[in-house]
Amino acid sequence: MKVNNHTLVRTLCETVVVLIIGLLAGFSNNALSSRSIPLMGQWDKAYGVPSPGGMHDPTRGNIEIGLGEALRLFNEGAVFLDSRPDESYAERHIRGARSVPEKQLAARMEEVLTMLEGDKKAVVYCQGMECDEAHLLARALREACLNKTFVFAGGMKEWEAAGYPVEGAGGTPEPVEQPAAPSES
Amino acid sequence: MKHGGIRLLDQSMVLILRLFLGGLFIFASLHKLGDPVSFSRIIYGYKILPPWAINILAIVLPGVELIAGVLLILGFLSRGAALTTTLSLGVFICALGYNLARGLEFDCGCFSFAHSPKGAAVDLLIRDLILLALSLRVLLAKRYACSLDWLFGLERGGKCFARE
Repeated sequence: MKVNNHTLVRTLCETVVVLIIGLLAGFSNNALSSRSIPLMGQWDKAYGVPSPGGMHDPTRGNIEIGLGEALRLFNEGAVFLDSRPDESYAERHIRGARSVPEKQLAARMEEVLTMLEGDKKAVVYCQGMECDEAHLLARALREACLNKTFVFAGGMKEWEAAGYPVEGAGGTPEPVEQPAAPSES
Repeated sequence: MKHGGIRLLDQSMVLILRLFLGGLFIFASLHKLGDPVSFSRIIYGYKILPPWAINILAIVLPGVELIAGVLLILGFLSRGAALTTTLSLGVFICALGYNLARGLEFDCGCFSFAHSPKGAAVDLLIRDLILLALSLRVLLAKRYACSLDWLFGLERGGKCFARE
């Protein structure tokens, strides 16, 4: 096809029209969506899981804790819940953590309630700050009135990098600094 | 007659490509339209855009994909829709290539929000390069057969398949 000026100008004009209609469709869809997001997200947090913000943000309402606080709760005997898939848990997890994949919570709710009997604190984690499974699990637990639930935002990645105790089929590396063992797990 | 046959074949091929690309873009937009939260996280995972642009793209891109797909199938503003799909694919290819070059693992988010297996980026790049070639073929077509464009007089030819 020979591209003459007329065709080029018309193509560009048509493209602008397509983009404007697409833009309107996108904004209308977001306004009506049950998973809508605001125009600005929280993607540049100093610490914590970056998120789109708004009503449907997975992090909304959850309490995020850092490595120091996670270690303190670990030593206090809080129940650590690993929200990653079973295979990741089997490979390596925080020592004493229980596996509760986020997608299996409904089926394992009774088991979780037993774990947290006596108003125990729960620390939920996933791989790191790129995942939202821990937040989704924490939200579900809060909805089940388990309000002493915290999200360890740095997750497995930060815990392992600090050399804190882990276990699993993938091997247990020597910790850089061995904190006191939890009183119960 | 011989040239007429080739033209008919060419127009038929462009028609099939239009329907294929249109359907593909509509399909690719649906899961993104249904879940802007997850799509924004996928865009964040590419680690290319500044924080202020992530949500805006997550809102706008699925709408543009849907409209470009629908217009390609209808054959209305066909060249504009084809240029839109071509530019979109060009941007996807640049993003994939950039992350591949710097060794970043990320989820494509193209047709679902499932985690992409390791090493999938090369396959995705090849797939998108093929789609880019098809989209360019539609963009550079002489005319669009059986399209609303010719019905509304935006394209030459007075029939569904023009022999001239």
